[in-house]
Amino acid sequence: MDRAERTGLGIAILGHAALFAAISFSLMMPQEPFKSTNPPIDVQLIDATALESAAPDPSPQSSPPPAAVAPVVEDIAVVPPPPAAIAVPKPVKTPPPQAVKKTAPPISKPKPAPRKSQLNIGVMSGISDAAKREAAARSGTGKGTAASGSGTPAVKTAAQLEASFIQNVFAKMKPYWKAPTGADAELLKTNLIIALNRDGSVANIKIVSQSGDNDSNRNLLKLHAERAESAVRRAAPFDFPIAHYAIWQTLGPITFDKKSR
Amino acid sequence: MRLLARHTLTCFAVMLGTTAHAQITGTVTDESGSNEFVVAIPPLTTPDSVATPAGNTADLGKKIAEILANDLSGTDVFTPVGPAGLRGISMAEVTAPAFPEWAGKNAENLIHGFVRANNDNTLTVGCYLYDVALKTEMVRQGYVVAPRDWRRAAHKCADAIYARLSGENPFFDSRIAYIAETGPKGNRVKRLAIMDSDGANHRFITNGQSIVLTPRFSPDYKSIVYLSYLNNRPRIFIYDIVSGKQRLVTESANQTFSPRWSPDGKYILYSMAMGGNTDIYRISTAGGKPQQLTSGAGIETGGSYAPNGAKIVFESDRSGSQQIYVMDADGSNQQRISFGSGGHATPEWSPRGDLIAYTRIGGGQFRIGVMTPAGGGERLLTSSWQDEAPTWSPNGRVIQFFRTTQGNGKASVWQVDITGAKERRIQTPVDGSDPSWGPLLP
Repeated sequence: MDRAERTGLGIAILGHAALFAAISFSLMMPQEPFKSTNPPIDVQLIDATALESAAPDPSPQSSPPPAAVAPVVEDIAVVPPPPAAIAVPKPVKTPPPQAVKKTAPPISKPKPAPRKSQLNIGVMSGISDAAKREAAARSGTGKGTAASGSGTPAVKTAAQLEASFIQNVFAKMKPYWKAPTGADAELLKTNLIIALNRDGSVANIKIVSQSGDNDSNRNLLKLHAERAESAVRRAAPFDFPIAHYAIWQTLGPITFDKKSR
Repeated sequence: MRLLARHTLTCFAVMLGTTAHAQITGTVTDESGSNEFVVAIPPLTTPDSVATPAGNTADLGKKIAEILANDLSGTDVFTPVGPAGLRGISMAEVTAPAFPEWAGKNAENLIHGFVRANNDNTLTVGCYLYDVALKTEMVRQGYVVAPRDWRRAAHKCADAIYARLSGENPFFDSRIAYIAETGPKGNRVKRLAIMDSDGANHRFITNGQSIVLTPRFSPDYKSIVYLSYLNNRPRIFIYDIVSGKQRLVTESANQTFSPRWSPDGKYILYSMAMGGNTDIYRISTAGGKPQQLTSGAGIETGGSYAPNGAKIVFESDRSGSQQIYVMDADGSNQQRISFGSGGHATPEWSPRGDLIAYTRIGGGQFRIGVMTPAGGGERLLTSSWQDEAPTWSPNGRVIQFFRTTQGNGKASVWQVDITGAKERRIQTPVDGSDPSWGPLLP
């Protein structure tokens, strides 16, 4: 070991000794808590997941928290315009009379309004308060979702999807549901089970039960069921994603009532 | 890594199991208020415009459409549009409507039809109802009538459409008897008159030399029973509509009033005042000895049969105020069904049997109300100074009554749906009171 090596070794020993002393000193001092600029993330395990992962929707911190139940929108786009909107038709040249036969004209399916995407459109006005509560309960009322302001969750739960379907089913049917009127007609209820085809059209409607009848309104039972069925058929087809057909292939029992109770 | 993949597949399987059994349930409500269907009614068409005793078939097509619109607008089921302002249709369109066009006009339902003159001097009126959105035919009816009965064909068409979309029985093809009033207050001339349910085909039956009150059509429409003050004595007469003759129901020195038919038309129910007491009696329309149904102190009057004839509703002041009672047809088992402050008068049993209409007296008003035969579910349908004497439409859905204007005492005939909606005045040539709605025309 020459002189230079000894000098280097000495410096190294002194340096390690100084470092050891500094670390020992710092460990002996009271520690400041770790300050984070981010809130803690609440993580909850869930036992049901959606069929597919919904892509996270990046959103700024200032965006509103994702609601478990879509917000209420009072004006439904599918509400038919008022009767007064009937216009005076211009005279048209009618074809000459001919033998009566079924001549189904080319018909673009009449709808009260252009249809929008039926998924996550955020309409709840077609749902009774009870249904909203039910939907909220099914979706967990926000619990278990990501922290506020962190965007949509990466994975939608089956319950959330179900709530979304409920919202859209009811919002679509609501404008077409006209309960019969008459003495005690408001007491009547009809429960339907609706089978849907994969294209969202109605495959079958089954009347599972009716209630609320008495001597005054019993004559309206048949009409009540017919109008409930008509509301479903007028609202169809339903634009649900085929990937979730297992969820929406059968709807019901769905109750058709004059008012929420 | 393999462990993670296995875990993911397990979650997927659990999820599938969950969703396969998911149920989308809930309640659809209808709290919009109005439940009326917008129904477009273009003029009925005709295969050939032919002159008939009732007018040209093309003109009749337009008039029938107007009657349809008027009839249906009086219900709480329809908001008619047309025929004014709507184009005519071709014969081919009668059974093959231009649905997209009517959908574009926001029509939910569509009425089409035709008027055809037949070789045997009759008319055929075709009547069709469609659901525009679902493109389905809901009503298809044809009526062959004499030209003079073209309005009846229109009412029958309206009845078929109303019954289909309301769930109720028809009622437009019916008539109303009422008391036509003229002259100054305090010296009114009161004549018996009849008209169609929409006020058309009005006809005076009596000449006004004696006051007449409380007319009622017989179930077969051949007769009208009423109270007449002939020679200043209130007595009950039956007027034969065909022969134009009237006859006394029962000869008595006492005052008789408030007549009603039994549902089978074989008996007349009436009240008779005797010795300061008034009771209800029943007598065969063929004559004979009357049967007394009530007894005891108090004024019992206004008897009205249940549609099955098994019970009678009437009013009595035996409790100290006018109240409503129900008894068996033989007068037994009398039970009070109206309570509360004020009085209840002029009860009328619905032809459907489920409700009793009456005049509610109280709070400085006479109002029209309904309750069940057991006395429950009382609902007041009108709120004016003086509405009284309800009479039911043949289907038990609409009630007519008369309204007296405060001050001048003028009376007019009104009607209201049993939901309390669609209150409207029935136009009569002169003032009107005591309406009586007959059954559906045979």
